Amino acid sequence: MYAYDDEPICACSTPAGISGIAVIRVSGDGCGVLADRCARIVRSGGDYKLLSELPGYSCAYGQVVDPTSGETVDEVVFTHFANPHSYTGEEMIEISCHGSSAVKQEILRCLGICGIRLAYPGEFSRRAFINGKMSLASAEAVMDVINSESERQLKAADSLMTGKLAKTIKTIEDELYGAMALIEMLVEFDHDEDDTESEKEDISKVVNTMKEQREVLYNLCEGYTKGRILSERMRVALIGLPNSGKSTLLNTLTGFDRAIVTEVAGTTRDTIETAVDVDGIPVTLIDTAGLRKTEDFIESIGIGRAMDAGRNADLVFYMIAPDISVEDAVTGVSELAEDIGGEYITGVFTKSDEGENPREEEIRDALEDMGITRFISVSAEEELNIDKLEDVIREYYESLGGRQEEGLLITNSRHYDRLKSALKDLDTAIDAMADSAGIEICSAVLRSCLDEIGEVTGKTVSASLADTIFSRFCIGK
Amino acid sequence: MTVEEALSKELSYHAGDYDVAVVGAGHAGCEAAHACAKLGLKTILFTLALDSLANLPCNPSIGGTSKGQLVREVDALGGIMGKIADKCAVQMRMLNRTKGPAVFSPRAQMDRSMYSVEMRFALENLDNLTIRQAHVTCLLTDDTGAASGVMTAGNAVYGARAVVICSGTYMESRTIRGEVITESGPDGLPRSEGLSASLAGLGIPILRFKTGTPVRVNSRSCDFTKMTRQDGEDDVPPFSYDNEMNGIRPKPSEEQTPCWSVWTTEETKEIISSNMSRSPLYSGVIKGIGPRYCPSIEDKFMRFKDKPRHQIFVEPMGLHTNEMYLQGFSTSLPEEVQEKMVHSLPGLEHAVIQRSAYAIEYDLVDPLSLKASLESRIVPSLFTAGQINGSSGYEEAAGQGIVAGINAAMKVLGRDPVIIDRSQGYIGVLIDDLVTKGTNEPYRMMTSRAEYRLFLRQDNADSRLTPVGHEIGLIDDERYARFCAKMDAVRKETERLKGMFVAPTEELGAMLEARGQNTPKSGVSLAELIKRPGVTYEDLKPFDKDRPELPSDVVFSCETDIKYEGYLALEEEKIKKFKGLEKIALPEDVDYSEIKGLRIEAAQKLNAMKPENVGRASRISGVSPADCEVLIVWLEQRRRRSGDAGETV
Repeated sequence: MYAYDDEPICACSTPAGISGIAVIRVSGDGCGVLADRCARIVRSGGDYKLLSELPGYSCAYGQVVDPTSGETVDEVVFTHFANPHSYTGEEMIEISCHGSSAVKQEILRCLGICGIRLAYPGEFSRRAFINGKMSLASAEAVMDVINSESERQLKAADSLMTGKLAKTIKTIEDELYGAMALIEMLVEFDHDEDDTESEKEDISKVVNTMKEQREVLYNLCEGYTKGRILSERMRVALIGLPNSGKSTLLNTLTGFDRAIVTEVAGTTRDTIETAVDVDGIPVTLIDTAGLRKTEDFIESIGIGRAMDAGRNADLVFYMIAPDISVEDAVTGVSELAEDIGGEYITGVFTKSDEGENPREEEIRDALEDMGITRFISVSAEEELNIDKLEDVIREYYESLGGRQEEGLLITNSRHYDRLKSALKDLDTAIDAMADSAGIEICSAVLRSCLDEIGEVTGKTVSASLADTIFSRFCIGK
Repeated sequence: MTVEEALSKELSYHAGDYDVAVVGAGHAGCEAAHACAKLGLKTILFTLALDSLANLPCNPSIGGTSKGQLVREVDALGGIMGKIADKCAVQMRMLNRTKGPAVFSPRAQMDRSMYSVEMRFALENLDNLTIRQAHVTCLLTDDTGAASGVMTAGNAVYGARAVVICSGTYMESRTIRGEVITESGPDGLPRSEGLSASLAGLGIPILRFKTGTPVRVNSRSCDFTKMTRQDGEDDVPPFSYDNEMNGIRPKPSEEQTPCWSVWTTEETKEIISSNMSRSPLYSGVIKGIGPRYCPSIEDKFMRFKDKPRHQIFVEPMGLHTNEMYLQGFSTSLPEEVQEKMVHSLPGLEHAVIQRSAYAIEYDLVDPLSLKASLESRIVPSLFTAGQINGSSGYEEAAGQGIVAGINAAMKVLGRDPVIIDRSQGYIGVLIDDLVTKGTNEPYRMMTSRAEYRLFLRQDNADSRLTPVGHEIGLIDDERYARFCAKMDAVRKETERLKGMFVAPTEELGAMLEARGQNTPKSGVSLAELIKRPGVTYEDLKPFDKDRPELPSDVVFSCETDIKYEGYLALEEEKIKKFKGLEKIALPEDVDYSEIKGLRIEAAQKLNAMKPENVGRASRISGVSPADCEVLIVWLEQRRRRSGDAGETV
């Protein structure tokens, strides 16, 4: 069924693709309080601690924070609009963030965790119109937008939903329909006492089907990060003190003998992003400013950006020059290791003409204390061990769930949202059967699970259920 | 034909004027007439055969999964089926007891003759109601095309401000037993002729369906020692909430009549497969579309080839007859073959058949031509209910009958129609499915058709619908007061259970352990304990010192509401969303093809169906979410044009 409501919604309002900055819009009365969970106000025109406290038409500088992990996602500017003085006429928030797709996706994901769902095509405009914020003439245009949007979405959905992924989701749906039909049969046609054996058999069949499909669904959801990387590239940040060999390394990695896909402008003023392919894995290499404590204001901004790049990356290569002291090596990365976790950081000892770093052993030990366990020694000039860097990228990619070679990756965040909810419902349904809460409870949850999957496959549940029952079972009394 | 034109015909005479004329006195017609008369309208109820009023021509039982819920809903609204069924029950069972209370469904075996007699007597005693045995052959309309009366085969012309047709399986029906085809209604009763053509002549789309009924045998010729006995149960609530609140309960199980069950044999299968060529279903004689959920026995063997046998129930037809009904053994094979098939069943080797099985074909109205109020979109003031709308089953008929009756009355009284939506009851699901999706076979209610099944229970139909019945005027103040007192008691007890904490004593631990539950570490509320699987209200009695004495229906509602609390909250969220769309009304006088932005298919479907609101529009196949968006925007545009004319926005 089509959901028409006034729930808080969010969407990115600037065009897709990488840009300098992007604007994410949130609308719906009460959205401020919901968004407080993922918004940290750093500086504002008054003594405001919460985003929802900001008066209408005022801004604050702050951060979007993942409410589950507490990690900072991006530094942003929040603008608050009070009902009815906004584009839609509802309470609204605009988040001006950095323009990379990874950042945008992450912010939308965080808002989702706070209970703000993704908007349907044209939904902001429709609300604006309903709330009297748009003229009759524009209403005509709104309808065109709704239509063209839905056509485009349909096409996009079509292309996303072909091939093996579509088939897999369809199979999950079919299998769960089968389980559902069996449950409904048990509910609809009461077995006699002498039939309890076959009833038990049916129930265990249902439980097994649900468990099997749960695994498939789980793997699909797990593969979303991989899918996102496929559609938006893996972000690998090169971080280190100045002259630690970052640029040389970057040049080597993007050398002419390697496939340079495109060169894109840096998303922030002080980082340079370069797109490369590593064994078919699309990677964006981010070269950052050197991390050095500095009195220079301009340079300190650059370092802030570098830290951000590190935080938002999938992987970080921390470059350690041969002449660096143990102390500097530790301070250069400690904050980042704490923020994103050492397992995403690889220590890279660069080698120059002077030879290896004499303190390598010591530095290794110190960094290991921070959770950094992977170390490589490279020499860009001699292309020595460069492939080891590529190995790190490849290993990380392969460690992610999902089976790319079979075309089984979810790349669309709406699909991911739906399937993730479906997975949650399916878990509840399995639990309901396990603690014998009742098959009617299991059925109710399974129904909403199928509703969620139906939003991906474009099918509604109740209409086809009766048909499934009729076609599969011989019905008794 | 108008009333005047009918009266100008030779030999015709004016037989009276009524507010509402109900055609057909089956389960739909009886409810419709009962509702209209109760609401104070001058009502006439026509039947082809007065002795077969409220006939149970097929299975002698009322209720069952989802159907039991329907009967209780009809009663909660102020209908009559539940009360008569309580009077005539010879066996009561609560189906699905091994499952959760959300899907408990009461079913009762009926004394078939008694049911007809009791219903007729109850209706005869109603003020404002005239019952007339007559053959209605024509629907009369006025200059505007609205229904205005009926004409009978006896040349009588009746004027009526609204007409409800509940023709069951009688319109142009024919029964089929193998090669023998008879133009007749069920049970050898006369069929309805002419009415169907009269409706078609007014532009109403007519469909043709098929259904069937099994063999009946004399119990004296049955050997019950070869069958499995199925007794009735105690503690099944009556269908009627009024009876329940007044302490009128079904007979104890030992006074109830048993049913029996047997399985078909290898021989049964052989007889059927070697005679399939004589089945009118497979030879193409039957053109009507049959129900998939209630297939004939030959259909079951043909469609489910891997199933070696099927279960057959042997049910009593009443207390003053030896006739037994063979549930699950409906067939349209010739009589000669039926004889052999029955004798292949264990215990029925020497069974004497009193009535043979038959298939029946009949005309009906395409339910897509109806509004949600069950009024025809083609002929205003004409309402239809029951099998004429493509449903099957006595309970489905009664559910539509009461709604059609209420809305015919509302129409005459100039009041808004009463629509029960999908979140309010199975009645709502049933009607919405029929009028929005249509059906290509006799539609049977099933609990899986209801999205909000945890909420639509047999124990709470009163809380869902009695306030509606009271507002309409079908539930009197006295019954309403009793209902309110019950609701109060449920609320108070639920609150008490949530506020009462018990200590984790050894006794409590032992009780919980016996039910596979852990002992709580600290004090816990009774409500929390009831939520645990396997733990009942009754189990907690020893730990609940101040427990008040409460009627079983109050306890059941408390217990169920608490057990399902979390899931009900989720369901209520969904209902809220659903109601949002249901509230956005669509005007009747719209040409959807003129709305810019609607896809052509959607505009065509919407023009054909004219849904009452955006919610219903969204359930029509071929109308997409984007189309609904367009409708919402268009509605707002229209509202502003008419409301704020001249004002700049």
